[in-house]
Amino acid sequence: MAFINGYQYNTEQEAINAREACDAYYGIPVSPDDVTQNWVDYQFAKLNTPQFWYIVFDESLTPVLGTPSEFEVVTPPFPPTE
Amino acid sequence: MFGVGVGIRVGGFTPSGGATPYVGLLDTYPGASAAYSVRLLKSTYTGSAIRVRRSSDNAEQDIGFSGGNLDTTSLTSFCGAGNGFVTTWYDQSGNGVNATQSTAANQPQIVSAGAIYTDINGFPSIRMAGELWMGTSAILNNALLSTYKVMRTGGSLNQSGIIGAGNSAADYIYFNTFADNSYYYGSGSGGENQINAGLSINSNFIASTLNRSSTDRQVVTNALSIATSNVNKQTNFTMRINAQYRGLWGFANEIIAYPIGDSLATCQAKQNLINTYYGIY
Repeated sequence: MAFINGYQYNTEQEAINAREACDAYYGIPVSPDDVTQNWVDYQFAKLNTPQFWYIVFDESLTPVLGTPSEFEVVTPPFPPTE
Repeated sequence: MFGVGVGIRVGGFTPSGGATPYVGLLDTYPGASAAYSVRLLKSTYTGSAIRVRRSSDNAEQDIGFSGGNLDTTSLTSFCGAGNGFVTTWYDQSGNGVNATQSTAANQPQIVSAGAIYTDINGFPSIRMAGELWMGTSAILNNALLSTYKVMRTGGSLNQSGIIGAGNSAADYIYFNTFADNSYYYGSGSGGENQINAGLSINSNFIASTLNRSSTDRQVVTNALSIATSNVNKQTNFTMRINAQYRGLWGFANEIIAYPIGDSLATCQAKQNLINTYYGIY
């Protein structure tokens, strides 16, 4: 379990719309040939119940997505300390 | 204002302009699956080192080499007083396995406020952090694999990466800090696979992981054998620079993967050659 500061969405389309809003705000991509195609990407909380989509907070997102909130994301198990 | 030792540090290469032909690490030790560096690794490689996005207007530009080193003049000129982020770390092996990151928020950083990171002995260094990673299309055989990493570890716990796969705890090689502030090396999922890599926090290392078979693994740092293990989770995985899940907070200068299980002697010879350039130990 991890506490994430960011933006939470109930559907993937909502997350896509948020990503596209960030791209438009920052003019990404600058050129069609650029490697950079998105300003930010969204993640899928597939282990949560119910599942949801989210974007991790960065201060550059505030003008576009507003004030973030904190929520819990279930993360995969990691090898424990020996 | 910024020097990377052109014409001074000559281990593993000869600066251009001299009478001696250029010799890079991959000229001496060819056959890499993928090879990324801030220096020129092969005399016949004619591509760029990295592609950089600058923060001022998000434009991108390829940055090449100068005298076997990263062309820092072009890099600082391009980035100006802003930041520079690595969108592509070009593969110098000849296999075209470039590492890329198309999302700005996840791109590793090399320039901060007009200054190039030089955290590894004054050489241009690429800053990795939790969500900063680069992907490739290369499939690595985890049972027969030797990796060479010039890296600087971070200072906090629960880090991992520098060669990693997807957004899970499985199918990657990781260095992870635990409560004793040492880095453990593991492959695949499950704590039974991890062995102490002997890395301390906030330190520079030339670190190698050698997988000679599914039951013969070894960790070598700074030309010293640190640990061996007869346990391995034999899994093929997609090579990434830094793990998407729990990435390393540190720096990387060079990452090379060979599809062979190097002997300890061969590993030490390669690390020593790398070290003549970086001067880490």
